[in-house]
Amino acid sequence: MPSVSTGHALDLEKFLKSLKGQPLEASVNSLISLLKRRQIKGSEPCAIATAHILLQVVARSKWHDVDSLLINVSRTGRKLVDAQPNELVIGNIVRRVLGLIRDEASEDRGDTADESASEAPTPTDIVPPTSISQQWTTKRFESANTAAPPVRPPIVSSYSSINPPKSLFHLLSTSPPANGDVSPFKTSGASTPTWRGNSGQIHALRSEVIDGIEEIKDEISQVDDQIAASAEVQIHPGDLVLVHQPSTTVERFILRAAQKRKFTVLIAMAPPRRHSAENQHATFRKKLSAAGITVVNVMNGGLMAYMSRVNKVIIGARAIVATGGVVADAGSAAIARAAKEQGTAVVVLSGVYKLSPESPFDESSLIEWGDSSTFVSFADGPMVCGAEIRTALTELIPPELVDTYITNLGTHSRDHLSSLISDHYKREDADFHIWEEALS
Amino acid sequence: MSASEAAVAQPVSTELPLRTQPNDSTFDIVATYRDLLASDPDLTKPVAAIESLIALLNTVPSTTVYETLDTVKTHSDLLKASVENPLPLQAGTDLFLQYLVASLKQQDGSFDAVRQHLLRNGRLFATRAIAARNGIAEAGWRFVREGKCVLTHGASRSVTGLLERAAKNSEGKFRVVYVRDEVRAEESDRVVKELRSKGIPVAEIPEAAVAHVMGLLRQVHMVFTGAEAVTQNGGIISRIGTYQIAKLAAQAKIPFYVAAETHKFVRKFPLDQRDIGYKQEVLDFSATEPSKQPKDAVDYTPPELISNLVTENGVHLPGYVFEQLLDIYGSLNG
Repeated sequence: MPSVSTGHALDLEKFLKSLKGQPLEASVNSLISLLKRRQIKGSEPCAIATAHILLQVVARSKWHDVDSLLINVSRTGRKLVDAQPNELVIGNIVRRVLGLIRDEASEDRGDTADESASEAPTPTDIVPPTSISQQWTTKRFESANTAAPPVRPPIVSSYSSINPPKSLFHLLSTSPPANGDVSPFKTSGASTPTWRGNSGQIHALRSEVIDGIEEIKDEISQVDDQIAASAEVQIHPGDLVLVHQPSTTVERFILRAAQKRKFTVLIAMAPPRRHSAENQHATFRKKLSAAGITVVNVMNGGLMAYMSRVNKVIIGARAIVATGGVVADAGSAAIARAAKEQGTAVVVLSGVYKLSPESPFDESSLIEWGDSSTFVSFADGPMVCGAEIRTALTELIPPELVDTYITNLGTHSRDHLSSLISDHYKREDADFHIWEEALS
Repeated sequence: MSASEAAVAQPVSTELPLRTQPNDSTFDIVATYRDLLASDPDLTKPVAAIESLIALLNTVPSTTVYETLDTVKTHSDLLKASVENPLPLQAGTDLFLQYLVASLKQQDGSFDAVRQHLLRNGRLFATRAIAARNGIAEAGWRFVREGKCVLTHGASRSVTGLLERAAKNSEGKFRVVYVRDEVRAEESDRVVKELRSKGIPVAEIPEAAVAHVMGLLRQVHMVFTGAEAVTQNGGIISRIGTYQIAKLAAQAKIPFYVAAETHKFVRKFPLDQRDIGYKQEVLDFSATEPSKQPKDAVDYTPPELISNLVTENGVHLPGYVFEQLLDIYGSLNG
């Protein structure tokens, strides 16, 4: 499907070019419709587009303090997530940017923290932070039920008092640093500062956040390279490696290994569809044979027959959910299961930006349904009106079938994912899209 | 030392002694603990243990750090010895002690400040613990979507809280299978009544029917249970019967979720069913008399059978417990 993907790349490019000339609102709306029409799709293009549009929001929207900036970013973010809820990366990037803003803002705040601490309330006034957030969320849901206008209630008070309960000591810790005795484990500085900044501070914050978003963009562009760096460790000479509908990440990974090692690649493909069957992954195959790698195409679903000889299955993820489940191209789960059955290692490649802090509360909502015209066309008259034909483009690989996750930060086991998540996202941002869900 | 030994010898007073009785050795931590549990039905065992220890600090005069730590330790042991199953209490007492130690290390000996903080905020901790339960409901209710069916047993307040939270959002749109415990018919009736009063359709089944019900394809979508204590490997010590339900759920490939507050995490690594931290005689052989069953019996469910822990800090894999405990204790040698 190379032709298709270049088409999408064009759409993304066109969109990125259009950013400069357009007013912000128009850019957001055009991205929303591009996402809805699936003209920008796939995790990497979606992530890049999201990062770009959020950069525009930071640079061009009106905001006079941190809270209004947070509101702007999360409001745009929620629109994008709503436009394409299947693409978890959009939410991930929005969360990253929100976390970035909080970090920069709390750095700027610096000393002011102590002042606010000194006027801490007397113990009787101390309300546990969790209960505030609790009341607050339930209130939000209630208001959602009564179809309140979709205006965010001021997040200021609640955010600034949320101190994400992380350590077990949270139960006993001092909630606001009252009367001077601060728990050593209190995660201070995580709350939103309350300063109404002067223009200088705002300017500094703006440029810092923009730098941060640029870094995120760089990270996204380098992911494939960094993942490929661990290829030589994973693939050994003489291995029989099975890949399923290789994404660019997987292609780069295999090609990097091909520079030093001699091994065999099995490419499992989607069952031949009308028209475009012969073209699949042709360039990838050419490059591999140029490197002296034996390539075998497997066209049918009978992968179990090969599995006993395969050493490694490599799957490119579209997204990884918090439990370790992997959203990947349809067909991968069957391969992973077959591999598990035979004791073959299943390796998932994914950039950290694809790792979502969301739990798969509802698996079916993660699956993307595609268009069935590749299987049935209007030439098959009776089929068109007589049968319902569905084709899933993605599916969720259960976490127990995956052995190793390779990200741009290295190789991880399933249990390690949670610490990656807490490193990259702030707890208070984890649910930003759900508020929207409740409101709509 | 002498104060605590005396406390062992004569546990007389049952009310909270005031600070006007310095050096009073009549503080009865066990009675305090029981009073607290009885007076507040929302209190969990670990938090009640913490509250009792705070009450203890209130009675003993502030002397040296070492002596205070020692008093806390002795009374913790006393408290643990007084109940059948010490694990839930150990979660609380260990956390309290470790907090004391960690705060003191940080404070360069400003021991009074820590003490004052603890004494003043005694009630706050209880409120926080209860807020944690609401946090669990917030974190986990989305598992219970429209058209789902949840199997549960026991009387975990976290689980009922979570189900009630889910009912608030989609009333009458999900169903609950409740596994009745005939030994505790009263409690089962209460839980079922509570759930039904929230508009949740409940099917009551006997324990013997669990495997059959799980075998009815797509009738049960998930299992939710609470826990008395969460062990450091991510397993749970919970009401007896949990283990077999977890096994059956794993067999039927039904996700098994545990709703538990993080203050129930305890440094204990059970190796198998024999190793639950205290002596429990479930087997009572007799040729003549009916067998006796222990009250409040528990079993151990290993982490392999648990899909996710739902805590107030979000939904986590069982490995989360280990990370959190390591984070505050620094080592895992209980």
